[in-house]
Amino acid sequence: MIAALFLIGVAFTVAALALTGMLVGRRLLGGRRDAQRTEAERRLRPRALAIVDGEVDGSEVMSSRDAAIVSDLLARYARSLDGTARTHIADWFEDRLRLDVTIARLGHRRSWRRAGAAHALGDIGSPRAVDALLGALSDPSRDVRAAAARSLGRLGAARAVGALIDTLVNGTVPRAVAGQALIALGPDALPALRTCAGSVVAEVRRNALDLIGVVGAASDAGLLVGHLRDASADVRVAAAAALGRLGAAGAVPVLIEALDDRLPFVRAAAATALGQIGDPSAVPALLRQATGPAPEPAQAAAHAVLRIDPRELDAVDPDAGAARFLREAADLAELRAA
Amino acid sequence: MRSVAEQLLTGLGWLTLTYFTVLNVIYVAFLAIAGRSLVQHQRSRSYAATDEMLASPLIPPVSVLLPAHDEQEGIVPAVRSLLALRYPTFEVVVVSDGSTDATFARLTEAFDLVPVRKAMRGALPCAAVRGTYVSRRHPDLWVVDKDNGGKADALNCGLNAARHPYVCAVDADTILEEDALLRVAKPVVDDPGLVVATGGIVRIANGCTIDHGRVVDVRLPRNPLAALQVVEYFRAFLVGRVGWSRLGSLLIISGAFGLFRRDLVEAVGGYAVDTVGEDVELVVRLHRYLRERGEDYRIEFVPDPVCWTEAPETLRVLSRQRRRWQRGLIETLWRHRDVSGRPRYGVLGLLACPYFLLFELLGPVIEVLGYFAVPLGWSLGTLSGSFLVAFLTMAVVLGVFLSISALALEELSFRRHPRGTDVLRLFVLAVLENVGYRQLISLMRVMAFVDVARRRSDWGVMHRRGLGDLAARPLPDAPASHP
Repeated sequence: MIAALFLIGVAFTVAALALTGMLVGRRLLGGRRDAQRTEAERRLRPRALAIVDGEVDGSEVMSSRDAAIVSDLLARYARSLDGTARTHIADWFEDRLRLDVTIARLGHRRSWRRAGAAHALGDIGSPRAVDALLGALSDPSRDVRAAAARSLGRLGAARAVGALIDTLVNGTVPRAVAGQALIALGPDALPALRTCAGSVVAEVRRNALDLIGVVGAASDAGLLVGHLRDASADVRVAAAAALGRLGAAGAVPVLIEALDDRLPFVRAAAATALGQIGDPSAVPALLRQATGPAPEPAQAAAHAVLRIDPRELDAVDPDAGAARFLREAADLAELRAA
Repeated sequence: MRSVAEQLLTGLGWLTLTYFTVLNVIYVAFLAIAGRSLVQHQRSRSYAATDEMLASPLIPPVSVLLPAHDEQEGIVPAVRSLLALRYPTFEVVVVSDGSTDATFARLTEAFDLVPVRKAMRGALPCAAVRGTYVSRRHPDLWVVDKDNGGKADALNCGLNAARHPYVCAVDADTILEEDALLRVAKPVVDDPGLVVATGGIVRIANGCTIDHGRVVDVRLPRNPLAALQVVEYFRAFLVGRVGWSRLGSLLIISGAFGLFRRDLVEAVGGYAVDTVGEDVELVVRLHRYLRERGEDYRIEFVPDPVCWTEAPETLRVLSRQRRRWQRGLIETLWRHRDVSGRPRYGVLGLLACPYFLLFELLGPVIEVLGYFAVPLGWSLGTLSGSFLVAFLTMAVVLGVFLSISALALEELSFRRHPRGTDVLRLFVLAVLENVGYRQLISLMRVMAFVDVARRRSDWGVMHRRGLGDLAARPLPDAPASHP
């Protein structure tokens, strides 16, 4: 046994030395490679910018190595571009057949390659990628599905709404990613979201209302108001938050009613929404709530009053123990006035 | 009599050899798990779209809590680094925990604080609040001045002041990178119903150049003691934390940088004020609470958000720090001793707690005994030369291998040290860490048992030089939290 342990020691010493050698070599070679890459990017940047401006098309002769670097530069630029500049980039990828290469990579056996390709397709911006990305929403890897969802949003693929809603409902894509993709689709996503708001599953209703609050219109207020009496507290919170985001003035009376909800976090959400809407008629109810025993709703109500009309806080009794949140808001009002 | 002593030495020799063998097998397994996990994580960075999160209205707001006691040197850069965080909605709550130096005065001067009677929710008990202030320049920067009650008490006070549903606790001697909060929050954003807490990696700032609360140039510390801790931190975070996180039983989220769901922390009673290991204890309590209720949850370690901290540069301060960490671990494991071995707690009860009990709590004692007993047994002829070689293989050679492997993980993933000379120094340090340094740390950790026996409960005096101008000055004191 001692001999075996000794041999293990020798083996690990050799492994440590090999690892050290490998890393030193990698650092030396990697450093040189990085420097070459930086130099190539510097050299090719004007050409990439010319492509963005539509001055150069995909027929230009370029080595495959240069084309790969230009592809990376363009994909990076595309993240912050829109309109014709993005169309030029998409055209270049199509002309150079790099779009097909990237789409083909969605079938790669390694999931991180597939995810990278799905992500890149969103940046490239070609609508030709939509079908492949819709297929990628069923990929076994969550990363690939998430990258595909994000890219469908980036591409503004209206016909992906149903599939994206499904990923949200089934939880196959992180909620924030699917949600953000639907937000990117904007009004195109609304009809499906409105349908989801009527789902029997509370989690689906909640997600739908959250997103309607971001991409919806004043005309959605009616639907949202109905959910302030939903059986699920999370849904009631989402409805209140959505009404606040949309600034739905017509919802004020129902939101004031929601200040009497049995759960403090629903009352807090209603108070915050009233603050966002900014209707002075809500102030008396908010002042009442701000003196209540539950801290979250009281704080939310006090800040809502501060937002609607800070002058209402002038009359706050500085010694009243129960009105501590109003005192805080009054001090903040004074600070802002100064 | 001699025969009894010889038997004792032989027994101790075999005990320590077995201990080191099992420990190294576990470490190698963790290395494999962590290597795989880090490679996956690193690959996913190219398509994580973290920047796009910034524009999303679906990101939960966060209250960043910064407890500070006599932190006059580092408090301003630390707060500046927090205010520079890239995150959609957040507030910073600094809690001055009965500071007797110029901590509060420097905050007032730097951020133009004015008194505002902030309403505290009172969900958790804490020492009396003297006053609350808000910055005129940064409306989301709050400062709570309170009586001294210790770090846990200050954090509870911060929780009472926090407005947002998630809280991120950071130490006053740390600097966060601008994307750190965004990255540590990503698991929460992806799975808000499942992920209840996340922790990030902590790195050593000694030697780095810091400008206006930002690390602008990463270098190895010139001080050898601090430089050794760089390698030690790689092993702790890139192997240990990543491995435990993968197994679903992360027990330590460093107090220097951890994100928690506020309602849950309040539900379990906040930070425990009667232990110096409040960060470990809270995580174990959260695990217990959720497992006892049969809830599906995750506590995750995120390897890339970076929090920079000061490392001790003197043995005296290092000893004080390590004894305190070990004391915190002893207190936590003793308090939750009924978790170990209980199938009800899953991997936590059957693997994580027994591991921490045997290898992290009792391990230093066994190691120190081995370092004395084996060479002594060999010199007396009780243990053979080959036994000594086998012992050194397990105690030192495999340690070197693991340290170099941890360094390799860093090089293959984050590569935060750009200078080749620094990397070469790190390889030398990876060897030296296992010849002298690690043994010294074990000895310091054994001394923690003496502290516990003496019922010592203080943190020790902390004198920091601060992160404001770290590269230019030596640093004598210790981070407050576990690495």
